[in-house]
Amino acid sequence: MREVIAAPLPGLDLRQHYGHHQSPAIRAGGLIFCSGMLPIDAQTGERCHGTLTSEAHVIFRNLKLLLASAGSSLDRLVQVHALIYDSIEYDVLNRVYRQYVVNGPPARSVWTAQIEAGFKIELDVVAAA
Amino acid sequence: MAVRGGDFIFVSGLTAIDLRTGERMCGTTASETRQVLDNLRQLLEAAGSSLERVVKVNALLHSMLEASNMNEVYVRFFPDPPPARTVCGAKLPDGCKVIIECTALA
Amino acid sequence: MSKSLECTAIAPKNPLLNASRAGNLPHVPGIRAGDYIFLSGMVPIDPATGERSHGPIAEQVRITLSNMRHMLESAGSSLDRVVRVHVVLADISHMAEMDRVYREFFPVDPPARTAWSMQLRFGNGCEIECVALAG
Repeated sequence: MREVIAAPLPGLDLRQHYGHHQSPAIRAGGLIFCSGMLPIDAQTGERCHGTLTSEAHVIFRNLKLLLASAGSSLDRLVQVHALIYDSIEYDVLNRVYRQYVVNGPPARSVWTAQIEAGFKIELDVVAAA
Repeated sequence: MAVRGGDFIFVSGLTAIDLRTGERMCGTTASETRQVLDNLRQLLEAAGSSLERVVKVNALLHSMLEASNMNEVYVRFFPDPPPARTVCGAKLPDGCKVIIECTALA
Repeated sequence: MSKSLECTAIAPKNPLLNASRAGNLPHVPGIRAGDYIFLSGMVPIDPATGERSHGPIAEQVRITLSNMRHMLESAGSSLDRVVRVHVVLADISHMAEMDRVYREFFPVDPPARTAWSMQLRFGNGCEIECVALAG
C-alpha cells in the first residue's frame, strides 16, 4: 500500500548524509511522491552549487535515476513544483526544464522560495507509477 | 482540515494552534513544530489514518535557518520509514514559524 | 502491485485561459492521472480578453477561482471535487481578503488548503493550484 523507494545511489540518501528525516520517494495509490530533489552528487551526496542551469541538470539526472528505480520516468511526471530562489530566473528555468520534460509535460507551479543550503533550485514532483 | 479523496487523505497546512480553542500557540520553531505534529496526529487518527500512513509532507518555514530545529522535533513523530518531504522557506501568515501539510493513505 | 495510471492532459474550453499554450510554456493547464486531476498554478487572467487582471486582491482571487472552476468543469470535474488547494499571495497581509472570497467558492466542506506568501511573477497578486477528484 505504502512502499518506500530507497535511494538508487548512496548520494541520494539525504537521511544518511544530512540527517533529513525523509525517504527519497514513496509509492502509494498508483502515484510516486518524491521528496524535494536537490542538486547533490548522486554518488557522494556532495552539494553541487552552481548556476540555476547547472543545478537543474543535476536535479533532473537525479530524478531520472530515482524514478527509473521506482519503475517510472520523467515522461510519467504528473505534477511539478519548481522552487527557484528568485523569479528573475524564470526563463532560465524554462530553458533547461524543456530539455527534460519533452513529451506531454506535467502540471506545474513555479514557486520562488528560500531553498536549503542556498541552492538556486529544487524540484518537488509527483509521478505516475 | 483533512479531506478524503480516493485512496488518500489530504490535510491542510497546519499551524501551531490549540485544536480545541483555536488559540494560536506561538513559540519557537521547535515548539510550534511539536504542536503542529501533535495536531496532525490527532487529525489523521480521527480520520482513520495515522502518521505511519503519511506518504508526503510539505513543510514551510519562516526561515530555512530553522530547518534543523524543525527536523529535530519532526524525527520524533514519524516512525521509520519516513514519508517523502519537501521543506522550503516562505512568508507565513500571522507570524507563524512553521506550516506543515501532508497527504496520507486513508 | 502498483497499477499503471493513465495520464492525459486537460485544457480549458475557453482557450484564452490556456496560459501554457499562450506563453509557449513547458507545462499543461492540468493533467488527469487515474482518479485525480492536478492543475498547474493559475493566476488572475480576464477570461474575456486573456489579459492579466491587476485589480484589488479580492477581484484577483475571484477571477482566479472562477477560472479554476472553468478549468475543472472543462475536464468533467468541479470545485466540490477539489481535495487540496495551495494559495500563494504576493502580500501576506492579503490573507483575510483572500479567505473571504475563497469561502464564496468553497462554502461547504472545503478542501484541504495551505496558504502562504512568496514573490510572484508579473505583478500577480495570487497564484492558486489544486488537486481534484476526476469526474
